Amino acid sequence: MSNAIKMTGSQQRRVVSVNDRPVFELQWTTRTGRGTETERRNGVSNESLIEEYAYALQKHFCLLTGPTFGWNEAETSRHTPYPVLIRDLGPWILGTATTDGHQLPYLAFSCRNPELSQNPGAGKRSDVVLHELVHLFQFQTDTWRYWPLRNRWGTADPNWWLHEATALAVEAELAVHVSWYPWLWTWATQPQRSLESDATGAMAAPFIQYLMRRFGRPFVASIYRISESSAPTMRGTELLDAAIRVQTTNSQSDDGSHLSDLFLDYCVEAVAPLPDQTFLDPSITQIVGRRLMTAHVNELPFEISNSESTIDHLGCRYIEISRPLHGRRFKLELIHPSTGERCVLHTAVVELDEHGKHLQKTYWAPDLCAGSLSLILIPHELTKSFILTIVNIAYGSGWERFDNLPLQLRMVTEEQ
Amino acid sequence: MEILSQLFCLLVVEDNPGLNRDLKALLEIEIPGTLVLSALTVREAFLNLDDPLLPKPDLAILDLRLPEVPGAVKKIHPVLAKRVTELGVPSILMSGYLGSEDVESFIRDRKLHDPPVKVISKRDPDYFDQLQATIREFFIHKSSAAVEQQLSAVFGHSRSLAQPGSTGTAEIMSLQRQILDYWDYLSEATRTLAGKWFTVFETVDGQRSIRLELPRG
Repeated sequence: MSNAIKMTGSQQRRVVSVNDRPVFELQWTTRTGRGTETERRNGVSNESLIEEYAYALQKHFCLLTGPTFGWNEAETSRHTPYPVLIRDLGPWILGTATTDGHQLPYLAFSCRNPELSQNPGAGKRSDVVLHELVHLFQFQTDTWRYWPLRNRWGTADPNWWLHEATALAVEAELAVHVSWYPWLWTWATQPQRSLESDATGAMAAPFIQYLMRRFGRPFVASIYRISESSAPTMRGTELLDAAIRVQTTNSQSDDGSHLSDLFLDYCVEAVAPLPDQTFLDPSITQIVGRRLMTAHVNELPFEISNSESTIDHLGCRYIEISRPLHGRRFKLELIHPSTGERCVLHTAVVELDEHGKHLQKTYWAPDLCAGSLSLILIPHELTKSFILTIVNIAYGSGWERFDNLPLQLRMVTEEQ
Repeated sequence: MEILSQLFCLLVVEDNPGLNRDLKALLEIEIPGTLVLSALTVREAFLNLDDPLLPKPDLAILDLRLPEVPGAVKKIHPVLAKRVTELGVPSILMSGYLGSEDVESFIRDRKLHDPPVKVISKRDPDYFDQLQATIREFFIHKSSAAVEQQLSAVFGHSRSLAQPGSTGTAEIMSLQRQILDYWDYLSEATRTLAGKWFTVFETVDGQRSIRLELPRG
């Protein structure tokens, strides 16, 4: 890796190379005591800041383009280095990647000293660089370039949640100074809301991290590697679905898994992880797992009626049924809401012993789309509880999204 | 009808079919990026205002004496002005009968309760120029206020944005889009303010482009 410094008046430039290839050009102005207010605010007084950014850019670029994450040469290389502006970005923003669709994407990072920034994250610059590099690579892909709504940039883009969630998930995997907790909290307090409902990506980031751990870290890049011909018409959920299909389809069979299957697995694992084979960040179950519960059932009959609980598309609800059972068989009855021809509520029941160990897992995908569906549960003698996970899988083009679906559930002993 | 690409929406309520058609056509040409909804009667105006598939107008241009339905007697309909006020839509009032008692009384009442942006006499020879200038000025004020508010939200001290973290890609890209979209309707003061952060320029293929720059001076 080599670096070169060029001087242009008060503006400074420094090329950051990776494997002797110039990849970034840092641009900044030197702060002196005599300049205008604008120059003082935007200038860099301490060259160690430039060193810090240069090091972080090299390190994370190598990591993301290496075998671990697998962003490839074509997706990340260009004829001229990426401009990287070091300037004032206000008291809160430490970094950004940006493009306007006409010019090539570039990066900007804050020149503020930690003590000048109101952002308590000052000092986590390296993590911000990592996050913004993921955005930079996203902007280079055909998926983003051909995105049909790309003129609705940023939070106005209904698919923005995916771009943020992938950047957050990569950050959560590698970042040193970033707390994962606020991101988990967003999802943990309202799992019934759609993954797509939050443009910050916080709702979807734990799920993307789950997929990354299940399929490997290159999964994130693969989401953006869907063929050029199909990318222009695809929504965020469809890109994710297609990437999952690629991972789960083999040469013998094209019967791979869908986003809905993986989403149900993820929701189940969030509250009832398999002890020896979990793909979730342990903090999800340790910190927030039990907060996800919609209801705890201690006696029968139990009923959730129409208006009490709803589920948005790609949202989930949990019911914990703890030992009211005394060895008796009981019946779980779900009234599937009227959603036309599509069965959008899928469920799984996990039976746990007193140590939280899985005794049995039953998937329950109704084949009728309206009316009452029932499942008989027979507690094992070691059964401490059942955890019922219900997901709404209404997503994708050609299908209407069903949000705010009322959940109607009834549990009785079999004789009742 | 391409609603998504429109920056503004105007509702024109004018019962003279020829004038109504001309106003719609002229305003769409003279104020680019504007969707003009038009109505010939009070009932039609209500249909436009209450249609959930149509955008809420940014500004209503109301002729004062109107028929409720085609062929009905023309008179002032306070109920229409009331509905426009309820929806928070500012209005420009116009009439060919300024000076007559019912019209003046109505205007006095509106000035007390919901002052119009402007009152224009359709008998003035330059009334269309007045109308166009007032609308343009209104949109410049509205766009400039919106962009300045967003600049403050992104770069100012009182953070009120969605992103709880320290990365600003979503906010900065949204702001760039907003500045580009509304550039023709931004006041000089707002352009100068935006220029502290961004440079707006024409690309070689004639497209307008925007980028963050190192500040000059």
